[in-house]
Amino acid sequence: MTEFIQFTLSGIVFGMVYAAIALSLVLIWRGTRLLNFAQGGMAMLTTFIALEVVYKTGDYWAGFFVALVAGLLLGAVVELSVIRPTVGRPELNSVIVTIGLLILVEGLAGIFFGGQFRSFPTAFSITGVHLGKTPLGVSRFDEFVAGVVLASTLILAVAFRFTSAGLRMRAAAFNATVARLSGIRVARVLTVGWALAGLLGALAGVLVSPSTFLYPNSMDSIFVYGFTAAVIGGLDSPTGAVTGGLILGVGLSYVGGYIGGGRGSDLTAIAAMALLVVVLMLRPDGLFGGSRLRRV
Amino acid sequence: MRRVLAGIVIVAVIAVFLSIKLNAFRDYQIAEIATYTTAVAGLTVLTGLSGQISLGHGAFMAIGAYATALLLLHLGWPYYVVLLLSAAITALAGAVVGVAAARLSGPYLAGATLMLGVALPSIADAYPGTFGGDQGLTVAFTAPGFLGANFPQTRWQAWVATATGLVTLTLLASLSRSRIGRNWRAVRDDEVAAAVAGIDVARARVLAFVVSAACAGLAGSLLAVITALVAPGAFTLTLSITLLTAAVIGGLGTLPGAIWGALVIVLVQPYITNLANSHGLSSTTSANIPIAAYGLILILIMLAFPQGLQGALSRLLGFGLVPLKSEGVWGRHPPLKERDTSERT
Amino acid sequence: MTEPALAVDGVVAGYGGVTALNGVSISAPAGTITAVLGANGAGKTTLLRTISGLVKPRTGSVRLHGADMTGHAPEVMARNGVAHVPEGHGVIAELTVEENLRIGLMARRVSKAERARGLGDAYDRFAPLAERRRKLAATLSGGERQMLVIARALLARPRILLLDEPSLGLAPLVMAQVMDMVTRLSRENGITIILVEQNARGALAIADTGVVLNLGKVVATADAQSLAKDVALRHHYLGF
Repeated sequence: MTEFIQFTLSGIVFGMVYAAIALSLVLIWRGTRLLNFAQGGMAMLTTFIALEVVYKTGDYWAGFFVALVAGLLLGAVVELSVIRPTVGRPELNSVIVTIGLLILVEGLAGIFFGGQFRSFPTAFSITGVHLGKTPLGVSRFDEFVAGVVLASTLILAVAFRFTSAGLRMRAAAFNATVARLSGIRVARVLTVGWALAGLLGALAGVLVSPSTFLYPNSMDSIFVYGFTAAVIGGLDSPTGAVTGGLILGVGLSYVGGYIGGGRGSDLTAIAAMALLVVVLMLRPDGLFGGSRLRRV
Repeated sequence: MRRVLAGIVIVAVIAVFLSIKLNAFRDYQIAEIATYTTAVAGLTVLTGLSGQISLGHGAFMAIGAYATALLLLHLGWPYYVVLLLSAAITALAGAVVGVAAARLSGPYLAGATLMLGVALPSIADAYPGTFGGDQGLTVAFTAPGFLGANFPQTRWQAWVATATGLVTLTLLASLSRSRIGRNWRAVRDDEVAAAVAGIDVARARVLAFVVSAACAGLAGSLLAVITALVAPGAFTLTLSITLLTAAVIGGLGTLPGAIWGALVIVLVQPYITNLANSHGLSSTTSANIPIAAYGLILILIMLAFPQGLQGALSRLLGFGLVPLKSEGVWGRHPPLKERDTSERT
Repeated sequence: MTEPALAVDGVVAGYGGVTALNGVSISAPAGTITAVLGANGAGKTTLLRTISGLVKPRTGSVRLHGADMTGHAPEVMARNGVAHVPEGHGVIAELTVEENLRIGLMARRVSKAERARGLGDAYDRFAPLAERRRKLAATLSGGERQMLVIARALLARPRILLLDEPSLGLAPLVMAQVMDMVTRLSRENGITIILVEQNARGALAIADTGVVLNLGKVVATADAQSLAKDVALRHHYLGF
């Protein structure tokens, strides 16, 4: 029973990180119908920048804050410089452009920061937390991770639904023509969307790097699982992103934990694929993806 | 078709000539180029002609490679048999994936194939008894006796790979011009219209996966032979991404584009590494410069030459292209029609 | 002599290789209704899209109250008093009625109080919208959607309103109501209206001026009543 609780809780924590990546992908998908394959790489870059800040100032929170700001800026810069020119062209072009960006970013990270695995600090203790006498398998830092992602998701959801800026973004995503004709600067909205996605990615990077260590390819598998989570949940649905992340995180935690002999960790990728296949066979547009309204 | 055959013959002659004139390392590169051409040609047909994206084609190459290694190891059959058998086994896998993927569109297909590319090689790690685990399996391959004892291995490998590549290109060219190829293009451009016109959409899509998987299987088999080793590290996600980017750089949906793409991925990286090394940069830096450069090249080519090298070449030489659908390959997720920015440029 | 509210002069415009407008000129005095008529493919929709900025003309000019606004982006045109209701793109179906109305207000800078007042006015004027304010626009009937569309356009306080087939797909009774609304917009609010309609008879009945397009060229401009009486023209270009 203890094992079950431990696997579940640690699965939730990782699931939250996947959810953050999934959310950033959904954000970009809903706004621009593009997939940003560089999302993980961008997160890696902002985490390296944060690490430099932490080295220089000795302050974790300074690094955390800088990472988020860097994420915002990087997202906006990427949209303006590299994505905007591909608008109106086949989507495969933007896919390749973001893949090119990923490769470029990883190469640059290797050049400027080197290839060794760096350890990334945490602000909270990483020793296991206990409920009474039972070890829960998660630490204070893990609680922080889950809490931050949850809070960000809620803030975003509220902002989208209840603010004018959120309304502008939704209008631009649902019907860009009517939005433009109503005076909404759709181009600016897209930049903001990419900036927010960059922020979410940066958040995921900072939260997961203490566990995975930081090196140019460290965000690759997180990105793949985050993308899988987004696809499982349905690319149009933020709820789906979070749900997909949690299901994937917990599911993979069980596979890695219960299947013994070291084989468990090798089989996580296969388990993820199996989960993906099962979901897509039943719902080709993801769990929450069927609810697209027809345009009038 | 006659033009295609003429082109094939010319390329064959050039390849043989170069393989004799150049050293063993260059022979290896010729073999590499031919191998990648085979894989990229299959992928470009899948994505460019039938409109289905695959981010996991490296997995099919892995299947072909492991099949070859295991067959040679356990049964010791002659290579040409093993080659064809590997292609058949991979084609079968392609059928399975194709059936599973038939209902998926655009980004969902991308996600599924991405996961395939990541997950499949890890089976080798999970079952090291059969698959040799991380170290992999070694592959033994020698040139046939009638060529003489002094015939260089690498040259023979280059010939085998080139022959396989050219035959593959010929068959694909013929398929592309046949009714099957027309069906693929019809399904890519408008599924509903194709169905109404009587085309079995699902069958066309699965067939495209089968054909492209077979090509990847051939390439995997060749790779096993020319590197003499089959290990999961050779078939990571990077390989799948590399294949796709090669197809796009060369010109998606065009067969000459497969050759251009293969040339780029085999030749550009070592060239840049050597350039960096010769300027005295540290080894980590010069290992990463070609990576960064490749990424930059990809971005620039997509922004400046979206039709890839073959498209730019065709435009330069003045002859028309087989038109690619301008609305992209996302299938059931068409681009935002509301954003009419195309009219404002 | 005051400038016309809208002056389109010699506009040539199209999409890619196709030229939809071959030198079109129209002039609409402030507060009038101009009906733009013609067969399908005559260029009526392209004309509206050129005025609102969705399409950039190759030559020619678009002037609003004398000011040259040729080639500006749709967002800019919207903020300068041009409201365009495209055919079939009236409402954003995935948003609620109230959200659709709030979008109408985005063409101007409004304070919270003004926004509340604007919405209140819209609900007073269009009771069915008030009843459905929190419902998704997709759940509205055809006539209610047109109501929403016009209410939203009004909130933007445009000087020029471009309507593309507002009566499309509506029952005759509802069509008449829509035409009635359009008339009142111009009479009561002084908005200059350019009305593209297949229903030529209905459009000419409420319009001041009629313009007939054929194959991207203007073949007739006259006051609406004379056009309605010109049987030969009607038969040839308008189908009745």
